[in-house]
Amino acid sequence: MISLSKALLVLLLLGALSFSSCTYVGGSREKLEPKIGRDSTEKGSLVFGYIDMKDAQPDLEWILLNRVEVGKEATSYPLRVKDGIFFLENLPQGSYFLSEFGGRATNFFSAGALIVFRPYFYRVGVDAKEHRFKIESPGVYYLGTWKFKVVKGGFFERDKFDLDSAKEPGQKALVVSLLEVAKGTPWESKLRNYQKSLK
Amino acid sequence: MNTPRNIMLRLPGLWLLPLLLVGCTSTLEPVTKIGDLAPGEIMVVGRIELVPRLQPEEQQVSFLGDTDSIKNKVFVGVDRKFVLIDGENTDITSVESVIRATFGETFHVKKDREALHIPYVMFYSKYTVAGRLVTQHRVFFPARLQVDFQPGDRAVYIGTFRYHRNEYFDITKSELIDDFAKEEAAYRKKFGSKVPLVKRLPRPLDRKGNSVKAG
Repeated sequence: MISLSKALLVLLLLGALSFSSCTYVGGSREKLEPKIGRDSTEKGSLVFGYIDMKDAQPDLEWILLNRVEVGKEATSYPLRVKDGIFFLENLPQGSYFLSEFGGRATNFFSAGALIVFRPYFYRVGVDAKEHRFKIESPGVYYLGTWKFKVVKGGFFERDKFDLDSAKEPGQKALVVSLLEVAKGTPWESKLRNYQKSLK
Repeated sequence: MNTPRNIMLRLPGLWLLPLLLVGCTSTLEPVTKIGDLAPGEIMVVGRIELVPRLQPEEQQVSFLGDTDSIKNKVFVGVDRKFVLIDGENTDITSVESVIRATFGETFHVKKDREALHIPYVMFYSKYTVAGRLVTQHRVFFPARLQVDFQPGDRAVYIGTFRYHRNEYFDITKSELIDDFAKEEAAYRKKFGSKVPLVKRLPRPLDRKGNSVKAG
């Protein structure tokens, strides 16, 4: 027969364990709501694309674009993300590049906790010319469908990554998904017009 | 994607050693008066320009230490032999020495009389240290040049390297400008006329280190 005091002790230990069992490590990035804001205007441009993260540790949770201009500090734009689709409305004209993307992976029995939510930051940067684009006039811009690929490093070298151009999901499928998150916003009609322009 | 120009490192205490920025190479000492030149040494005079100019907002430099050693500074690799530094090999630690110059200002440095190869010209668009995380981005300019000294040379002008760039820091055009008349006048004002400045503009080399024939 277990005494009341022993049962209380076990309960206390379980309680303490549950409090310390989940840990977030290493920071994160700003995450926007995964739908186009109802108060958004038609000004600027809407950009979208897709990253297949099946071969990555985390799912896609954040993605950053940098806008660069001669003589000025770079401006960072966090994009909206939903199921691998990234998008953002009302971007101003200018020169951009994909700066970084990432997400959190769930690790078990790591860093002294039962569950650890560990962030992964994949930095792309200005040198990757295939991930640069310019917005010269307002409109809808497709930034491509990409598949994350691990590039094995050497014995003493960390693994790297690459983004391979992929066909699926293509623009048409992505626009259908975007229409869902653009319902009731000024961007809905623009997206429908863009959809019609796709062959 | 993780190109050699875009590097993140996790090293303990690296912020203490900004000299590591250009590897384990030595920096050529500046000459402030003719007396600084030892027998057997040559003064090298030149200038690096970026068009449009680099603005402070465009360069991210943040670490505990002498950030002025990076801000608005451009690094000119110097070696006695040919070293190939290009998009596939940016290991500048294999280059013997470096000139730490300021964009748009004439440098006066001293070196030995051995051949002068310039394998790279580079600056840091980003060098930040947060905790143990070092993030750097280097921008390389076209170089791969050789300067031929002549017997009796004590002070040589190697030209103004003018690089035109866009918002991504891509080099859209590079020029070798002969500003000898202007630089020679400034040189005489600063160092006198006891040791004359002579013009020795560099010649471009191909990827194997051979001279590129004009035309």
